[in-house]
Amino acid sequence: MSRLAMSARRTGVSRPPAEAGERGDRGAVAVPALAGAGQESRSRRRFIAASAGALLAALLASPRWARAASRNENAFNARSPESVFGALGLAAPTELAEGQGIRIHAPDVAENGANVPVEVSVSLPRVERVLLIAEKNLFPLLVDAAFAPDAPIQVQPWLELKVKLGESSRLRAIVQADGRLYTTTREVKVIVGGCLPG
Amino acid sequence: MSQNSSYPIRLRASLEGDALVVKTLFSHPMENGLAKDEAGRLIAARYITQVQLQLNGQTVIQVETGSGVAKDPLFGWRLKGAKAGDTVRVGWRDNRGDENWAETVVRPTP
Repeated sequence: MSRLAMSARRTGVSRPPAEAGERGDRGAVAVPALAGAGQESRSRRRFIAASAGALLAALLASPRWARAASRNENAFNARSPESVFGALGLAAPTELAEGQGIRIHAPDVAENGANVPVEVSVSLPRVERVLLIAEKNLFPLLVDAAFAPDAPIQVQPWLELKVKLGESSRLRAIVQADGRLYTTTREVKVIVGGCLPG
Repeated sequence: MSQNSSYPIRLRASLEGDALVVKTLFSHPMENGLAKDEAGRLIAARYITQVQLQLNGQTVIQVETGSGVAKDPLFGWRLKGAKAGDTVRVGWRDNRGDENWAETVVRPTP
């Protein structure tokens, strides 16, 4: 309670009323700074990498739930993997064979679809983002995880969580590493579906 | 934005070799709004939309979550370069604006 109040006060101090403009400015500064490494290159990939990096930097710089308003509701409410991709504005990722760069650990057969343990581990350099999609779920997008790439502490590209699967489905992991997108899938058979109990 | 202590958080951060393994267990119904109660009425959606992990006050991982994450969700992450004495803080926020945070200090390996 006191901790929350304290952080609220801190937020108040560090963010005067001119909040929107200030944040906008910061974003504008961040883009060229990040794009600086390959400024002459106008390739789309670099642009996407730079803007994603700038976005992440802006997000990570802001305290607490500053990103709250920006959760991509369209992506989470999308009802097919294709529309998830569309809502996120993701380019077509490079398909990797299972275990090559991205490994999805999950049971081959899950008795209870309401609670399926999943682990995603990535052996690609500079992983910035990991997304997980259950292709046959009513709402396929499960998580969209952003890792701070240049934090003093290195986040290992590994994520463990438990998900619901409505029926037997392919799990698809999408990884953004060094600005590029990669994907792989893994089939999970579900005996009792976990999305619509009753 | 209330702190909802009725849904507690279990947080463990332990050094394993050069990695800090952080595991969290959030108590949360993760209702996707599609399930019905005994009377056949829809149970209102209530699910975590965001999870954050901060190390020494700096956000290092931010996860946006959908209603397809299991009830009482478990998350695990690994950080390299963390050391004993560092502060790990984990929090969630749900679609109703409730949130909860937990904090722990990394202990040296015995």
